[in-house]
Amino acid sequence: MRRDKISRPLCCEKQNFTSPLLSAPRVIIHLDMDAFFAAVEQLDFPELRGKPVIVGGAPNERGVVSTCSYEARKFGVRSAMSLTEAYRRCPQGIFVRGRGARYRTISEQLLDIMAAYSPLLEPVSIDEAFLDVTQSQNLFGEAPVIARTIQARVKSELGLSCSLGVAPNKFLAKLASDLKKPGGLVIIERDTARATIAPLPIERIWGVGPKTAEQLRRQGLMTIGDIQNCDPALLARRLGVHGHDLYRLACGEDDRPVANREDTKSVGHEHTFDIDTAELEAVKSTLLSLAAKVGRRLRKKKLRGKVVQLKLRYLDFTTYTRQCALNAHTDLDHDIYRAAVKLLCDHFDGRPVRLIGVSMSQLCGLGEAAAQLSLFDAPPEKAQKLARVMDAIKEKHGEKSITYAKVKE
Amino acid sequence: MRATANRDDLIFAAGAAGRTLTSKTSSTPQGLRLTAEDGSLCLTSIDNEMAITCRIPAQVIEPGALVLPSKLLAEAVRRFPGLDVDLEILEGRYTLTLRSGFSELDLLGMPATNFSELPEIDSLSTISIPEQALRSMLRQTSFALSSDDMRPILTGMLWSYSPGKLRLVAADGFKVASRTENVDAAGAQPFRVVVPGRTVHEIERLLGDNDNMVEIAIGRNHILFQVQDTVIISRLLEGNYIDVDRFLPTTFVTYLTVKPKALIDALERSAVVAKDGLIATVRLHLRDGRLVVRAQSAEYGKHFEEWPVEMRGEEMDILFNIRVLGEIVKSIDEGDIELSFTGQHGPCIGRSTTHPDNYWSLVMPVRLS
Repeated sequence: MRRDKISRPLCCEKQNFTSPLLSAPRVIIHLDMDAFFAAVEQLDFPELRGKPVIVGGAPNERGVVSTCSYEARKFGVRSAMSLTEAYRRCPQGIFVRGRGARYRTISEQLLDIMAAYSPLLEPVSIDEAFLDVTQSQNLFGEAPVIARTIQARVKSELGLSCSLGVAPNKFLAKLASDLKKPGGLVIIERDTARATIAPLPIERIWGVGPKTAEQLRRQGLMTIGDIQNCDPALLARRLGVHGHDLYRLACGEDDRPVANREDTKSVGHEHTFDIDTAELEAVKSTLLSLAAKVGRRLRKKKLRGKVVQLKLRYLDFTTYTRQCALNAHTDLDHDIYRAAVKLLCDHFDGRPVRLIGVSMSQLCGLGEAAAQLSLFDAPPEKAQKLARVMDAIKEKHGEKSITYAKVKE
Repeated sequence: MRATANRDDLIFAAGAAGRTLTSKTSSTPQGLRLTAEDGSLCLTSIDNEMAITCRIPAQVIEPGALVLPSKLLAEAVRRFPGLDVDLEILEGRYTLTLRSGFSELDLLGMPATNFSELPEIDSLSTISIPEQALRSMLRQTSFALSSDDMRPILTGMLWSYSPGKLRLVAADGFKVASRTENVDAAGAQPFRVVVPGRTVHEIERLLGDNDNMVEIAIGRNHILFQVQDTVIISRLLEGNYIDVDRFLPTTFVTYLTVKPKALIDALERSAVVAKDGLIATVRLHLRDGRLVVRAQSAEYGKHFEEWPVEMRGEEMDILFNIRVLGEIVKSIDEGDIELSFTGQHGPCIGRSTTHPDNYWSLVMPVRLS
């Protein structure tokens, strides 16, 4: 390929286009939305603004708080708390069920904004992502400038508040974004990183859960600084291989790259019944709506799957997953449903079902759409046509605009 | 129990009988039963689909029986140094002591009293066939067994016998294979049964290239195979097998005769680049006595070759899944392969030019949408 001087990308001018292993210090931005689901609800329904909003479900339902507004946090409501407990602490709270599809749409818009500043974008969850801007600074200015621009755009274009951290690696960037919530922008410099994080509690280290924290505290290690002053060899002896990583993180070292999200490995949906049900027909009806959602996602992503997996959780929380392989890859609702129902009928033991899920794996891109003809099955044209029409209706009128008659809402 | 057996015999028997003890089967395996009696050791295992029992000669001083967990025996014996292995169970104990050379190993077992009995075969019909003949029949058909759980009957192989002839059929919808062989079994009743694919693969593994006779007995719900000292009893699949002859076309538009090896090599060259999408696809183009084989992918490149071939009939431009067509071509074990085409989107039939009547296979093409 011929390369002209004129068409050479700007970022190559300074000759810092080296491999990541040898490259200059990295600059990573971590973005975390502030009380994401609750903020979206307050954005869409102005009457909720300034009020304690709790997303997760009605207070008498089982289930947990997925997000709550900062107003609700004042009452001691936290994510992952049971809804009943949240109600006890904050009876005046406004409980809403949440609208997954709406949150996903906004999440995609958010990622679009971030992707404008670097191709190295790694979504962590629906409201959180890493952006490696090491090479982008020549184009858009220093990292803090980029971070401020993104924060402003999220505010003006999405109407939402977010917190950002700018740091030399992912661990520190995530720590930083969490330091001044909501609406914060915290920069951790390489030289001062060690000192900046020293006073923080050990739980802030990635991978330190309640169990490890307890173990560390029993040995007198309360803060990240305590770990920095530890003998790494001793730490490794006490905590195994984990100890070494822990020490490095505590010193603010982390060389994991920002990786664009891996290829989709499986696509699945699950549903928790409001009331446990042992009625096979009801479970089947839910299964069809789940299979249709999986089919829709596969078609959207231009993927087909070959292995159908059924997840079945009974009232006592015993959970079974069973899978079967299809003869050929498919993205059609009824192929997925047929296999899932067969798995259900083969394994259902009559106990009330709490949760049911369907997923497709062994995915494959559509590529050249070659279809292996079969002697027995009519070509799947009719089913494909149906899927195309249903998809088009959903694109135009929303995901709930059309479904199968068998699906009871 | 006290007995002595040859180490290699024991390795073979523990391995053969242990085949049902895989974790893949959904039933909980009961273990391996070891029985010593009348100058032989007998190893048996049972799961919900089949039972395998293998008898080997042994010097039995004192008869007895014990059930051992899973593949323990095979693992133990394989590591013994000596030519022979002494086996001993002390009276009233459930521990099998194995001695070989200077080594001694105690394996903890269970009493054999709770072990399921082998199913009784109400033998309705019995035939026998030389090992190598059955091996050739299975080699030409077992590749077409379906793995699609949605049509369970097709995961089995159809075994049908009408006086003088045994026929095996496997089909998964993309391909079909049918093989017939003359079998001399005076007075045997005709039968038509479907044998689970797993059993078929087990039998195939046991068969050697020799003239020893395989005994086959058909019961109402079971089939029994005796291959030398190993007996496999398998459940039969319930349901009606499809009539594959219904799909056998009678009129063709194009015929191609080619050496199987030459075509397989060409397909393998195509497979190097055909890696895009769901199906690795090859395009065969027949015209004016020439065959063009080609494949391409946007990502990896393209393959093209053209050679003169023996062909009759119209021009034919057709796509196949490389793997499926390859299996059809490989199934020809003697002579050239004659492929008969019905059209671009219709079935294609493969036969051997040496034995055109006892074997045919069918392959469906791929269509671009």
